[in-house]
Amino acid sequence: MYEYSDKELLDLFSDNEKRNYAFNLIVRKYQEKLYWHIRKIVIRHDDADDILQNTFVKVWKGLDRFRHDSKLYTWLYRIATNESLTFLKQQKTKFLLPLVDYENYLNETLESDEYFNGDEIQRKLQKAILCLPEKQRIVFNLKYFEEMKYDDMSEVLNTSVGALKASYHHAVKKIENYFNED
Amino acid sequence: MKDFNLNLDELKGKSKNPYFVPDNYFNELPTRIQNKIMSESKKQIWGIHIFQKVASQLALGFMIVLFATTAIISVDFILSNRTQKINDGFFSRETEIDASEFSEEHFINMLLNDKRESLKTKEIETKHYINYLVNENIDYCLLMNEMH
Repeated sequence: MYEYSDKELLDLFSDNEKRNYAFNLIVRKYQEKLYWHIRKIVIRHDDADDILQNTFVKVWKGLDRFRHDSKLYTWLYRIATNESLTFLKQQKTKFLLPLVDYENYLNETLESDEYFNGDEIQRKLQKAILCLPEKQRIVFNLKYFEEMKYDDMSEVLNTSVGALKASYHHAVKKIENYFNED
Repeated sequence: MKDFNLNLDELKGKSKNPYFVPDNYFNELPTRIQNKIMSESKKQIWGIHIFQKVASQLALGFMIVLFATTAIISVDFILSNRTQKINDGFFSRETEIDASEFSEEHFINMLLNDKRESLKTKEIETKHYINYLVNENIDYCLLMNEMH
């Protein structure tokens, strides 16, 4: 199947008659990437599913106002990231959990997750990642798993490239320490 | 650190994504998203439709309330002005002060002054008549006889 470029998709979307078709193509093109990005932040499949749907509803509502000075895919990642962070914030407020307890909560979620089939090392790596602060965790995931360029990451997280590099470096070091401790 | 980076790279290459999703999840997702968008826009349209239906009634109700409020405020304003004229605190207080200043002694003095003043006036008038009769050379007895 032919994969449209982002520009082609946006041109198609601007045509009122092909609007729904174009949006459907955008969903099909990015659903998996965004899902895995969200899933690694919130861990639970059901939460990731809700957040992903909300993300695409927001994309549908905001695509008319999308300015072409940023890339479509970084814009989508930015919405997904913000939705995920808002969700985490709501969860903390809902359960009145301090930061450390919330890390434990995510670890327990990982332990009981029926949609996780990694081996022992994979599980350990995921646990080490969950010990990182939220923003550092997102930087690590985007760089390590999704191999996103720092320039694109800078657009997604609205942070300088230098700060992102430092953040990734610290994240790797913390994970290394986590592995060496055991 | 470099060694550990190598280990991380090895780890990434060893196994695929440890998370997975229910069967057919990604095939069904676009339809579910479309349905969600449809239901959200239906809600929005329903809200607009309801508003359009009740807009005229709301406007009429608002006008009635506005008219009633204006009428009540006007009547209240007029009544308060009238009351102010009748029960003006300043005037009633002044009247009370004036009345309290009068006493029996004041009244008697006032009457006596009045009597003295009338006697003085009569005296002046008599003098005036005598001067007139003298100046005109009129005989008073003759005048009296003719008058009677």
